Amino acid sequence: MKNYKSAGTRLALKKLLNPLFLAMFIFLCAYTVSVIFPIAWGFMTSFKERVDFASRGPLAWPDLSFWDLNKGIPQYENYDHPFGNYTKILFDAEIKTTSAWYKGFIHTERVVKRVTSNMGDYIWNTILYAGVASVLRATGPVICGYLCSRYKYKCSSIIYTYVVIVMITPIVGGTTATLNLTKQLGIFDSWFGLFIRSFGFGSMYFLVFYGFFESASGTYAEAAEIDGASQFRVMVTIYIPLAMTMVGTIVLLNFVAAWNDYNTALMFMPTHLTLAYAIFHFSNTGATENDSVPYRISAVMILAIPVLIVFILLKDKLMGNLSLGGLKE
Amino acid sequence: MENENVVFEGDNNSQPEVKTPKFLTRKTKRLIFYTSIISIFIIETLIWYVYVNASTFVLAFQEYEATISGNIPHFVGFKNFETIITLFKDPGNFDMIQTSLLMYAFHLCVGTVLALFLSYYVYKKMLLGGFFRVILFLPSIMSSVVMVTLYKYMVNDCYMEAFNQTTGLLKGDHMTSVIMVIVYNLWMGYGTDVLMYTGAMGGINPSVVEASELDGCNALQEFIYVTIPCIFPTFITFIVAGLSHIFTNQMALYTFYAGTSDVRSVGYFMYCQNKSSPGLVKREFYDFLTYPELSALSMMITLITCPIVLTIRFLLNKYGPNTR
Repeated sequence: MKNYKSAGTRLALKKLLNPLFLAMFIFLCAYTVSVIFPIAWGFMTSFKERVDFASRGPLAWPDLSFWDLNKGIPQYENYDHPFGNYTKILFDAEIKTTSAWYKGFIHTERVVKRVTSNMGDYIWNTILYAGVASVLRATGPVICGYLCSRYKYKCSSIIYTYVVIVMITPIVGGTTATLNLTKQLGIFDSWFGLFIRSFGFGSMYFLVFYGFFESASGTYAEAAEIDGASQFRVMVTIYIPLAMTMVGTIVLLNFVAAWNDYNTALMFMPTHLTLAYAIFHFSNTGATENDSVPYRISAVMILAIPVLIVFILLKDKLMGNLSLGGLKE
Repeated sequence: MENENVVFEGDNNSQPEVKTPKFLTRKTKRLIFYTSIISIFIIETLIWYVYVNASTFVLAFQEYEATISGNIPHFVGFKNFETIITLFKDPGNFDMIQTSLLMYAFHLCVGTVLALFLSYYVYKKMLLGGFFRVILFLPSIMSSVVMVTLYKYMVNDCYMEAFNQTTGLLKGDHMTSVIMVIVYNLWMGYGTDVLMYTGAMGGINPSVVEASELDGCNALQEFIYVTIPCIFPTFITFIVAGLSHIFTNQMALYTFYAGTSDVRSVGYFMYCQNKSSPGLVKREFYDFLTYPELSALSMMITLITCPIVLTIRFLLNKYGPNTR
């Protein structure tokens, strides 16, 4: 086995002598450094004290003398342990947000909300948004894909054609009219409004599920129906479980996307903002405490760490599904 | 299978008889079930796609007047379109179009070409290919807030410290800032492209590759004459997707500058305008576009990009390389 491995490495090294591959290898090594270095720098900086960063520069290691691990007399206010920046953000930070808009079809009734949120609120909003929206974004395509592939009515082929046309035709302008419509319906800046918009089916995932269910055997349904199962039961207990691995991957991908997303919340949910927005706010505003670079970087790392953990644990699942999408093309 | 009243002969003890009302055939039950669920999706489409796009069209030709009983719409012809044309004629705003085009040109000429070569490296299972594939994907799974913040400190504070400079690269002149944003987008953009291309390359018939090797093709010739034609449908998809978003992709500019940037693309401009728009009625001393004006802008972008995208897609499909 070892011989095979060393032979494989020798062959890879021999192939690497090709100028094209050698150039690619050098580029990829440089790229790897360019990706890993900023993240490692972020971790290191998040453990620095404000004065330490200002006096010794951004590239120096954290000065351990700033840390009072025995909880003795803090050398600097609010900073007595390596996780001082993290605890300050998680337990002390607050952001005030305001939302003022007109609802109704001719924008008559004015709605004003002023909210002060702490980091706990932002984390809760993020879990709610990412959790529910990711499930809804996978549920729509799986149900609609199942119906259109297993029930060969004219409507099914119309829906299939519609999805393909929407995917290849660049129609711009949804945002303005969607904003207007959510305000007209009075569901702007509300969870209900956000979730109802998440329950769609017109995406690439519809085509993936359509192909999957079309290739699935129809004998399961026939057998279940003979046993007295209803159409709904056939769908929920037989066919959707067959696609659960794909559903899980799509939920995971959408969860990560929603966890990272702050633009949607900022546009449609101005007083129910997410953790990503809070971090964006900390890294862009210059209010007293936020002036400290380590404090801002710590905020950024709070958002990055969960995603990094998910990526390390589930990278094959996350990357495998996208490869499937490529093959489908 | 048309009749649903199925009775299992000789097995009445173990299998209960299925009793269903006689007027409901299997076909009818299927239709009822299908209609009841698919109608939810049809209603959803009618509201969030058909109505929204129709509303954009109608709004583009309207202007709202504030009255005591509410905002009253008036048909104003092409007035909103004229406002947008006047806006973009201003040299200060025209650079948004230039920036969007420049960013796409870099994405196409540098980003896509490099992504193809990198995918080829991974596909040929070269040294550390699997590891590089993971590293290339890593930035695209991270939040743009995280990556932009770290990048900003890299090209400002760390650059100044390491090279003894007094000004960071993003705080320099306009062109340097544009280039640094383009570099960021190239740096971030390999993940999905490489995954898709390696997925497509994995589907190439090995006998075709072997035949080319027997014919004496070197790595570059195999890449140009075998790999690219085989993955051309995926390539077209990426080109079309990129072109579709040429004027809507804000290239993370809002994350970079939080609405206070001199570097602007059309997508960034639209996002900021939508976020801060006064709504249906123009407000005095408030320098943001109204919904009708933004709808006119959206329609103009659609009218420009739609034919370009469809034509390029058609041409690539017709005259591009194919496996035959």
